[in-house]
Amino acid sequence: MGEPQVLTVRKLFLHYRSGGSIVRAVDGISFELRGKHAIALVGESGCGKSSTAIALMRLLPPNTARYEGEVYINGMDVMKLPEEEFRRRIRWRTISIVFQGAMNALNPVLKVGFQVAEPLIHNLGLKKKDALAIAEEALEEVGLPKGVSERYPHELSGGMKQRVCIAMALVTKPKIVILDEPTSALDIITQANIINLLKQLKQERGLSYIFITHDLALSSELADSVAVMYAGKIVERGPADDVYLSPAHPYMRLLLNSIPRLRQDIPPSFIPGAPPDLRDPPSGCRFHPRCPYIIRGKCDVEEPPEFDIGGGHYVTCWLHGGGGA
Amino acid sequence: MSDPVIRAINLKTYFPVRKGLFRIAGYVRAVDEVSLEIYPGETLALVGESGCGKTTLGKTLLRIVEPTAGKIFFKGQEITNTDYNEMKKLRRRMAMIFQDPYASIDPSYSVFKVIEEPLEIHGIGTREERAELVMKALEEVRLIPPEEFARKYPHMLSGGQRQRVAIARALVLRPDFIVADEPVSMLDASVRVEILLLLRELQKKHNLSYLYITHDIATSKYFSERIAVMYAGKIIELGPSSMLLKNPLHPYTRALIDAIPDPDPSNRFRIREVIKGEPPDLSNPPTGCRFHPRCPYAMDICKQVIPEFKEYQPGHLVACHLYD
Amino acid sequence: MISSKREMLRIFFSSSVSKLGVALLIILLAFSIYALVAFPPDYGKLVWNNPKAWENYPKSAPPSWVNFFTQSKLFEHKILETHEPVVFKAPDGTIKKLYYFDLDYDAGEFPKFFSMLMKDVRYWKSPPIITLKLMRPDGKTVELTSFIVSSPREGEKPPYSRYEKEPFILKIDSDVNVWRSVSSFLKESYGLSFSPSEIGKDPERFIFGSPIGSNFSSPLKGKYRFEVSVTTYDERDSVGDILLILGGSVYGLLGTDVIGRDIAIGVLLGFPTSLFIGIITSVIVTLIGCLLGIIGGYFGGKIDEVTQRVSDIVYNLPLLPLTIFLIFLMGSSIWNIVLLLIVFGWPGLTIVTRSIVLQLREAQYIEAAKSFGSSPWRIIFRHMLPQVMPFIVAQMIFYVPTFILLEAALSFLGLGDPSLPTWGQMLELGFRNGAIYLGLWWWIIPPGVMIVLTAFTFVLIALGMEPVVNPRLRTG
Repeated sequence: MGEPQVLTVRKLFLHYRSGGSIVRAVDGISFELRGKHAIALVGESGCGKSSTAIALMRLLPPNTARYEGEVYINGMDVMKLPEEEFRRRIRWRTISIVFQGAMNALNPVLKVGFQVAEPLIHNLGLKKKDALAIAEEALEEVGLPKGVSERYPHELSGGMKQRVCIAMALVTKPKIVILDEPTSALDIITQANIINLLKQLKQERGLSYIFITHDLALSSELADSVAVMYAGKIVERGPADDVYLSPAHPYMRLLLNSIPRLRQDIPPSFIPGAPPDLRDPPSGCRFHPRCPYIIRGKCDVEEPPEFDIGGGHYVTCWLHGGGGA
Repeated sequence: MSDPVIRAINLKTYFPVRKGLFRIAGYVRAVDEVSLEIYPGETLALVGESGCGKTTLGKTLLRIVEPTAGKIFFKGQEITNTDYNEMKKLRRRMAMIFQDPYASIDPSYSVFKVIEEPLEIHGIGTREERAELVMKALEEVRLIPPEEFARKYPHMLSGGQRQRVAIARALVLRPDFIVADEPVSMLDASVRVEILLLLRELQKKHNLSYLYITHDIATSKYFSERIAVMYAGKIIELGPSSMLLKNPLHPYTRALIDAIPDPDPSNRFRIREVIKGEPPDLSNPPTGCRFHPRCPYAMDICKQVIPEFKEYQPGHLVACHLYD
Repeated sequence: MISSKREMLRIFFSSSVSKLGVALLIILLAFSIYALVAFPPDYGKLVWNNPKAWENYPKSAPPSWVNFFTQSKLFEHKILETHEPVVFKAPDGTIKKLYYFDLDYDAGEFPKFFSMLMKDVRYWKSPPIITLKLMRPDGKTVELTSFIVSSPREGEKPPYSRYEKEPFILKIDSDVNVWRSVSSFLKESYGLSFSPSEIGKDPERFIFGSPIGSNFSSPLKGKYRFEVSVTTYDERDSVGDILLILGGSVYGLLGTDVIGRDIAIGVLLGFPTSLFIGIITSVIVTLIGCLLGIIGGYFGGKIDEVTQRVSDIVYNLPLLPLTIFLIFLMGSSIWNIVLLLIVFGWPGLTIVTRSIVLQLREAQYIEAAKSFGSSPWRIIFRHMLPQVMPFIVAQMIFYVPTFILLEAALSFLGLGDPSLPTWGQMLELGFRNGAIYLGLWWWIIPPGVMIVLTAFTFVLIALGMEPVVNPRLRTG
């Protein structure tokens, strides 16, 4: 503890239009992130975790229907900033991102050094020569050999490309880095190497991470705190120890049980059913159709508020308050 | 033990690398001198990193990819050189489930047509009988009510449902042997276990044998009897799942296990021991043991002599000079 | 992914580009069908390219609607046709048939020429007597000529047929009898004396004019009536078509070319030919091209190697010079042209289809089909073709204008099929006769515009197909 909050998100919404209906991808989520801490945003595909990243970076697609809420970075509500100022002061400079699949989105005809330097030139307005020098440094810092900046993406392995993408996100020296499934396309051993690198960088540079992943085992590698997303909402959040060791929301409990453990003998189980369609989410608690602990007449009718269950651990479930249980 | 359903002896699958028009510059040794058996009702997990040749091995066993050398036996009958028509008959008794449920089903086919197609190809039953078999298959993979799912098109289904369709298609001919190539790696965590349990249930019901190809050694712990670890075109360790995981012999197997986290919040306080480097290029693999450039225990002999794949304990085989 | 044909159609028709394209195509087809129904198949050979058939037409006449833009009206070429005659029967058995032709004359110039045509005269006893009279707007009547059809020859048996093969043509410009009649008419009516040979220089001036002094400078406007009387001596005698032709200097909807052919007919006949060449060639080229592409791409090996090499070579051959050379050797029939266009046209599609199939071949669902024993042909027809189909159809449509333009280009170079009028040939003839330098715009513009418009139609349809083939371009 002790570190001040660098990011506070309150009631953030991001909805899309899609074929005449509204996709409620991010539906009023709130969380905080302390300095030098990592928060893991976990959930299944389509739960809105990547949309949260898009909302924080303000990289909105053209079919955005609703985008509002409060996002305080170092105490300032950046949602109030006009686009130009946001681009100049916040995006890349304060908060940057390693996109999902970014390593496959590297431009095949540009040298990687130049690609890493690009945010410096475009967002910070540096001269090309200076930018390239900084980029070279950044590439070295992520453990790439000297001279890599002169090479093209196809000459690099998957792990090296992912390091390039991390260098790209760090080159502007941001305080907060969003990692959107940063290892999803990598092999297990490479993944472990990248995670080690991310741990090191966090330590050495005092970074804060928002680590977006569907993999609860992987998230435990980095997360100081965890926010569990389900169908556009955060259903549980709190310190990693609390959330992993005494999960409060049935969804998180079941999700943890579905992970096959290598070092313990606990046969994994699964959650029946499928996540809801975000165009038409269920009434009440959005998890109620799959929940084995459902309180009929309550969970399926009334949307649960976020209950504080102590120690910074919050859960959005009627089992933990409201006189339900 | 009963006779194996599938048996491979010194199997090799090389892909020619062409330079220019006709000249063959070399070979990608995707599968190199692999021997294994899979017994009735058993799941053999084939674990390895991408590009290690595990998918090619699976396809070679089904002769979707032609072997370069070695022998394949299916229920005691050699099928290495079986001709097209004979092989077509055998295809009724073996099947494959693919990794990507979005790519393995023709997007223009309805679920019904997808599952009916194998029946049609092998001329099984009348139209009505086939319809009945399709409905039964859908019920078996719990796409209920089957009539409703049969009418749907792939894009209307979730990833898990599509993979069930793919399983139904693989099962509809009542095969003995199924190659399941990363059947759950594209699915969400909460769905993975469900599909794997379904595969297990169907295995018991129909006495199926699986080759379960995966990069995830954790699922193989719970869903396979034996595990084979593949590295750079070769199987380097093979043994009963619990034995292999409790007492991994090969340094690569150990590295693979060490690299996989369990959900444990204390993970964040330690830096994991991980081997460095990348798997080798299969068109030009290292001499001797292919793992030696990355191996923390590499000795001189490892650079020169290919280690023999031999039994260390009963049923537990390893190819490593540490156990000579 | 597009799930159904109906969905494809919906996407296709959602753009106004495709709507316009289809509307134009319907118009093209309507004209083609009309041309095929209205003209016999050998029209090209027998009529269009037969200069005799166009003798009665003005040469290089602009369309008649240019009169809207000129001050002094030009005379529009007139061909007056037979109506039912008025018949008088005399008690002695003589039958007199009177044919009337009316003409409302309001042009500011004299007719270029005037002639009478008569076909199929048949008589049993005595030869008929034929007279031609003109009643003018000023009430005066000119007896232009009177003659007797030639008598039976030695040994000839009735009925006696005359002018059966070659029509009888009375040309005012070269008929001394007419000049004489006009001369005496002028003497009687106006007291003017012009010698027949003086009248022969320009008889229309005197026939259709009224003098100011002795000067015939402007035509007499108003209603003219021609009377052709045929006197016969037997009930069974008959006369075929009688035509009066007044040569004008403008003609029809689109004017005429240098040999007097009606350009409107030429343009109309161009529709079916162009569409036929464009569509049949592109269909065959597409079939061959994609069949080879699919077979090569799917099976690979020797077949693939051979088709690839051959298509590379053919694809890179200089198409036009070779085609010119080969047409020159083989003769310029439409079938030879189609054949050569096919021979040179298939490689492009083969190359593209092959690359698509190579990609599709690696698709997991193709591999899945193989794994449960699908035969290669089943995979090709059941799994690949439905995926490649929209693309192939779009390509096929895109090829239509290419081949229409190529045919036009060949025709323009004088290698067109002479038995079929095409737009390219019209252009070629116009160009060869200096239509551009002489300002015969009506000869060049219509076929040119039609070539472009037809090509444009198919380009529009192909553009409309794009979103069906390429889902990234879909809007909404």
